[in-house]
Amino acid sequence: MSLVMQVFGLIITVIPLYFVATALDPSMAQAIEGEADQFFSFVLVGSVGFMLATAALTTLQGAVSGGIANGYFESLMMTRASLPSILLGLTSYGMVLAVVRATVFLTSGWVLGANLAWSRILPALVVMVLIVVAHLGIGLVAAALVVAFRTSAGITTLATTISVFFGGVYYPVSEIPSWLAMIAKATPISYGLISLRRVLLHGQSLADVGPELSILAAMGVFSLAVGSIAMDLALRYARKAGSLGTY
Amino acid sequence: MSTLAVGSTAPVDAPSSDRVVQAVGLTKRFPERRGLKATLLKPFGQSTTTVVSDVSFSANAGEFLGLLGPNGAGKTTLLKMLSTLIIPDEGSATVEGFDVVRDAAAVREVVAPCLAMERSLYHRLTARQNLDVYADLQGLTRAERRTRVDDALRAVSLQDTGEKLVGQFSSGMLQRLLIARALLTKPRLLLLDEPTRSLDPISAREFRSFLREELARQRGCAVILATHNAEEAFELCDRVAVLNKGQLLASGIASRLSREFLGVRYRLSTTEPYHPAISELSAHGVSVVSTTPRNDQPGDWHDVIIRMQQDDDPSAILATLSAKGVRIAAFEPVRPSLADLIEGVVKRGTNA
Repeated sequence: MSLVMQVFGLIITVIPLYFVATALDPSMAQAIEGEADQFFSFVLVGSVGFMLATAALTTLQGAVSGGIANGYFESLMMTRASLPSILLGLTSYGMVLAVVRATVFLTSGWVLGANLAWSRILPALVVMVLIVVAHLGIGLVAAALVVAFRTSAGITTLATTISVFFGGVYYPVSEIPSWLAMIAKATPISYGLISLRRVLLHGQSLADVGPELSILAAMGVFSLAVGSIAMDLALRYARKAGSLGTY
Repeated sequence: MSTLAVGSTAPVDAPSSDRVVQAVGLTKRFPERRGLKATLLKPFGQSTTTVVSDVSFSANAGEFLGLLGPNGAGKTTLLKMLSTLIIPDEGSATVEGFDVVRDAAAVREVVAPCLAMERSLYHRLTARQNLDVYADLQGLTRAERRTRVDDALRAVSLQDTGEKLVGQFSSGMLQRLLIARALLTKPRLLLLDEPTRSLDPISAREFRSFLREELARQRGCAVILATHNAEEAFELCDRVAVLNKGQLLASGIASRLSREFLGVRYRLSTTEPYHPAISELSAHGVSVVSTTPRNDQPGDWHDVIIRMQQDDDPSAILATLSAKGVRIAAFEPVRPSLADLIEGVVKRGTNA
C-alpha cells in the first residue's frame, strides 16, 4: 500500500513539473541546447538521475543505521556471508525501489509529452548504473561513519545539496558562474546527467559520451575504493570498541 | 593470569586433547563514554573500563562450559570475542585452531553464536522464512537448507509454527527461533547467552536434553553458555567458570566448586528448629544457614539448612541429633542456589 501511494505521489509530482518547465521553456531553450530540446525533458531526466544518485547516497546509510538499532546488523556480521554481499543485500531493496520510482517518473513524463529516445534505453541504463556506482562509494563512506560513530556527519546531506545545486539537475552546468564551475567539475552527477540527456534525449551512443562516462567511471572506482577502505576501518573500529550492536 | 585466583577443584583447561576453544589471557577494555565538555577539556584523556581481564580457558569437543557471574562480569563480552564481534585488546583465542582476530572468517565458519538478539529476527516473515534467509547467508545449498531448517525447527519444538509470522511469537518462541537459527550450520562451537531465559520449564528441559544428547554427544559440538540457571550450571555443564568484574575467579565442576566454596549443605525437617542440640553442632564446625517454616505441612515444621565440612559424616550428625531428642522428619543433601555459589566465589575472591 505504501509503495502504491509513493507511485501515485510521483505521478502527481510530474504534473506541476510539466507546467512549470513548459512555462520556462522559451527562456531556457538556448541554455539547454546541447543537452535537450525541451526544458521539461531536461528537468525530467535530471530528476531521474538525481533520484538514483540520492538513493545510492542514502540507502546503505539508512539500512546500516536501522540494522544497528534493530540488532540485525550485528547478527549479519556473525554469518559466513562476505561483507560485500551483506552490504549489497542491505541496499538492494532501496535501490530496486529507486529504480521503480525512476521508471514511474520517466514514464509519467513521457505520457505528458517528454521527447525520450526509447530506442536508447539500454545505453541509458548503463549511464544510470554508472551514476549509482559513482555515488555508492560516498554512501559507503557515510555508512562507515554510522558504523563507527553512529552519525554520517552530514556527508549525504552535503553530497545531495552539492549535486542539486552544481550537478545540473534543474539547470545546465554551463549556467553556473565560472568561479563555481570547479565544484560542478568535481560532482559526479554532472557528468552522469550530461551523458544521460545526450543518450536519452538526443539519441547519442555510449561512444559519443565516452569522455564524460570515463570520468564518471573513474569517480565511481575512486569513491568505491575510498568507501571500501572506510567501511573496513569502521568495522575494525566498532569491533575494537565493542559497539557493533549498540546504538 | 587470573585463572583459579582463589583456588578451585579442577583445572581451567579442558583435560583432553580434542580441543575446540583455547583462550589465553583475553583482555578487553572499553572506552568510557564522555560528554562534549569532557572531550573538549581533555581530548586525549579518555579513560577505559576493563570488562575482561586476563582470562584463560579452553573447551573440548562435546563439552559444556558454563560462564557464571553477576551482571557486568564480562560473560557476554567473552562470547562476543569468540564470535569475532569484538576484538580483544590483549591475549588470544582460537576456535578449531583459527585465531579469532587473524582468521575471523574461518572462525565464523565453525562458530554459531546465539546471543540475546530477538530484535534481529524479521518480524514480518515467518519462522521458516527467517531461517531460510539466514541459511542463505550461511551459504547453505537449497537442498541442505530444507533439511536443516526442518531439523532446526524440530530441535526447538517449533515445527508446527514454522509458517507463523514471527511478529506473532511470544518471547519464548522468539528465543527458540534464535536458537534454531544458530543450529542451522552444524557448528563446532555453540555460544549461548542465557539460552533458556524465556523458555517454559518443559521446553527448557527438552532443549537441554537436545543440547546434551544431539549436539554434544552425537555431533561433538562444544558449548559455552552464559547462564544464571542452576539446573544448567549443575546438571548440564561439565565445568563452570565464575567471573566477576572481568576476572575469572574460579572454575571447575559446579558441584565441586559449590562444596569447596559453600561446604556441604543438608536440609533438616524438624518441629524443633531452635533445639539446643542444633546450635551445639557449631562446636563441630556445623553452622545453620537458614531456618524457614514449612507452610505446606500441618504443625510447626521447619526446614533448617545446615552447612558442614566436606569430610563431616552426615549420618553421625543425624545420629547425634536423634540421640538428643530432636524430632526429624527428613535429613537430605540440598544443592545451593547459583546465587549462593556466585556470591561465595565472589566474596572469597574479594577477600583473597
